[in-house]
Amino acid sequence: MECAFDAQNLISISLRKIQSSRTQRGGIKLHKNLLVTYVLRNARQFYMSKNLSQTQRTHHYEDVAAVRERQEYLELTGSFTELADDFYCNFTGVESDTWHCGAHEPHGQPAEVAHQDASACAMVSPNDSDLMVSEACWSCADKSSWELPIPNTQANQKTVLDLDTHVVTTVTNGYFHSDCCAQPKQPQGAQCYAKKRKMDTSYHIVDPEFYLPDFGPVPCKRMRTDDDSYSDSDQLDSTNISNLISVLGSGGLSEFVSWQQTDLEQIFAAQTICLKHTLLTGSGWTRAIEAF
Amino acid sequence: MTRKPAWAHCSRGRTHTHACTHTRKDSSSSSSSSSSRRTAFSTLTSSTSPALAAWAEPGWGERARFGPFPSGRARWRVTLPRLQMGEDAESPKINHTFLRDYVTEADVISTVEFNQTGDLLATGDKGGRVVIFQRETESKGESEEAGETGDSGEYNVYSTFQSHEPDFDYLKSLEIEEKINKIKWLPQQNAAHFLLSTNDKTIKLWKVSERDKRPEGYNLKDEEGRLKDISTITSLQVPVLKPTDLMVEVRPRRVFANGHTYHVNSISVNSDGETYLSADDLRINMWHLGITDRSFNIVDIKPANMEDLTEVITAAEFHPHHCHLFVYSSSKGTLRLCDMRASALCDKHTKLFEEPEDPGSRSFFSEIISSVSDVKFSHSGRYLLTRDYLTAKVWDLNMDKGPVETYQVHEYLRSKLCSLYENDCIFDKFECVWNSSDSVIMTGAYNSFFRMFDRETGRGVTLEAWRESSKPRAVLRTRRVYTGGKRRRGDVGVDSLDFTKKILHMAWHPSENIIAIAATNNLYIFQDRVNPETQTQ
Repeated sequence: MECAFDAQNLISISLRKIQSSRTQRGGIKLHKNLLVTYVLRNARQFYMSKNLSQTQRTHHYEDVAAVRERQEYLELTGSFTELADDFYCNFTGVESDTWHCGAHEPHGQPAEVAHQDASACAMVSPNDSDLMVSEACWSCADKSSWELPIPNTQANQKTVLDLDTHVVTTVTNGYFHSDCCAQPKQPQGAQCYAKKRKMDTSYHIVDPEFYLPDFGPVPCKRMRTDDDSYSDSDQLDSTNISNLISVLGSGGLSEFVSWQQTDLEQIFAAQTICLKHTLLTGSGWTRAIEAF
Repeated sequence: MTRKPAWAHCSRGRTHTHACTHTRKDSSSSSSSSSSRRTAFSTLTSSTSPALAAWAEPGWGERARFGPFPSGRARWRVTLPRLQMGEDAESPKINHTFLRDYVTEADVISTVEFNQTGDLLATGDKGGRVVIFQRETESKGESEEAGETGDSGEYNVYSTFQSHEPDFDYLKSLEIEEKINKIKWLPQQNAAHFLLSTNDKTIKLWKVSERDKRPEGYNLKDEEGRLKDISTITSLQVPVLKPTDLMVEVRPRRVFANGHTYHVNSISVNSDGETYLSADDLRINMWHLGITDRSFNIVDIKPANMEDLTEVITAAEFHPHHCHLFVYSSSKGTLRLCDMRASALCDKHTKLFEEPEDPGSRSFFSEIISSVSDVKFSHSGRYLLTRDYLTAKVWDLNMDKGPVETYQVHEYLRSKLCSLYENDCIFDKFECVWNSSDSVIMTGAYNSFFRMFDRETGRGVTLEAWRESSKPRAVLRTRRVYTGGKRRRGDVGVDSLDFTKKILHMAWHPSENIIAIAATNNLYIFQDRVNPETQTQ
């Protein structure tokens, strides 16, 4: 196995591959992206196992450093347009007024909520009630064999678009969850992306994952959840890879490439730092492919 | 009838016809475009170089057999100067080296396939074109009736047509590539030939037919098609069929569309001659050749939640003799044999072929290099040949615990996986083929190398498909990649391998020892001169 540095290198290379595959001609190659996520997983596993012992010691240092970096980064990008703000806000989980699908609240352990079916999903734990109910489909925590045993106390949400049925579903992922309430959630989930979609078309780069045939642009502000209060560092904890990838896939990142190459480097640099932090805290993360 | 696209007259001598006629023989009434076509082809097909007396060097210091042929040494010879798309062969004075090295993306050959008799060879490229070659028969005239086919092994262009065009999926805002992923010939039932060609989404059935007669003597129109002056017509005549220059017509007969959400990677014609399967990343559909608006889904491995996706289908093929059996390979390195008699949806396999992973060789890229890129039944139907990134494996259908033979294609790349991942070479999908007697397997590698393995001895040989060493009738030298030990002259170091020159697609003649190798935009055809006919064992 390669050393830890290579693992980090591999992760950033893999992320670039995933991002570039979204703009490739011919559509997303499912096979290749699946293989890339295996590399990501392997690199992450190796990285985690290597840094596990150092976690406790260096945890808070990383936390502060990452938060500081992130805030600086936010300032740097203040000049970007609304689309840029979207991206960064989502990335950090802060001030997400248009992309709240990525927003999440640190809530109770979904791992302990062992729902198996749709009806059970409705009866989520009380502290979940202030989440966007439409997307709060807390399903069973069916841990995959390779998930880290470190419990993730924060939940995170991702929205996936099924290419076959064009159903937009959201899944929660502290661990692997199966989304069991796909159908009824479609309207809300769809609307949350409507604004994104509208912006995308203006740049002529339309990300296929966020195409919603039946819903026009609907301002998402009214879908915003009530409690947007969350601590910064906590947000960062739960900013997992999948969130990162979903944001990468928004089409916004490709805009940055065209604007300024150097900013792209900053983006990846910041991602790497936050990524490192994420890895060190052991927050669960799911595979990068969530919208195939 | 014939719509010539704008690039039909391009100076580089590329020739395309839009699904219509392609004149083979000289004809005085041809247009200028067809004459330029013919000239380019004649240059390509002329093999005026004298036969070279180069002897094949074993390369490893071994004498005797390179394996495939029971009697003596095999010497692979080039039988056709390579067909190179995009090369203007008519202006030798102009320095074309830079043009030669510059490969248009659209000219890259993406699939090669012989038909069941081996007389026809079809190639598809990334630009959506299909070029069909026909074997030249040496005997002409009287002996043609005797049905003798010559020993020449020369293949000439028979027809060219545009099979698929770039498409756009408006619903998903996705461009659909026109690259031909696979071509499969149907068994011949009458004078015409049929082939299936597919891109990522749509499969088409093409009819290739010859026409050597045409009706002449119409009453209202003259020979050029102009309306006659009615006052000049004094009597009625019945049009008669007159022989004319041979024309090859290619027409689309069926279009099987909208069957796949993901990218189609394989098609396979069933031995019943009526159905065929098409496989994409997550599903396999079975079609009837006569019905285009319906297909049966026989395999569906899509999980309810795409997050749980762990493997995709990489290749699928029907059994050559049993019309109810088919096999599909997965990205996890497993093979599944399915029996359609068991159930309508064959999600549950009849047999699962899996080799337990060696925990000692685990790396970041274990999943990638174990993904099977191609699977082929042997002609006997008893064995399966699979190719993953570093090896080729032969499986016995009766044994599902592991392969019966494993051949290292380029093991020296194992230490280079990280850089191969960076430059995306690790995702290359190599094909593998059997020879007609199932005694030799062949697969491609990098640096224009391809490898043949003799199953009896287990020995492998490396050959090169490269223009500098491929004069017509030249004998191929065996090559070697230097991996340690005594270095011989001609050995190539691992670091000097050219990873842009990859041999992904190839085909072996169904009954003779003729192979077709696609090297980027070049097609090489080699024939074994020592043993042209495969000896049945």
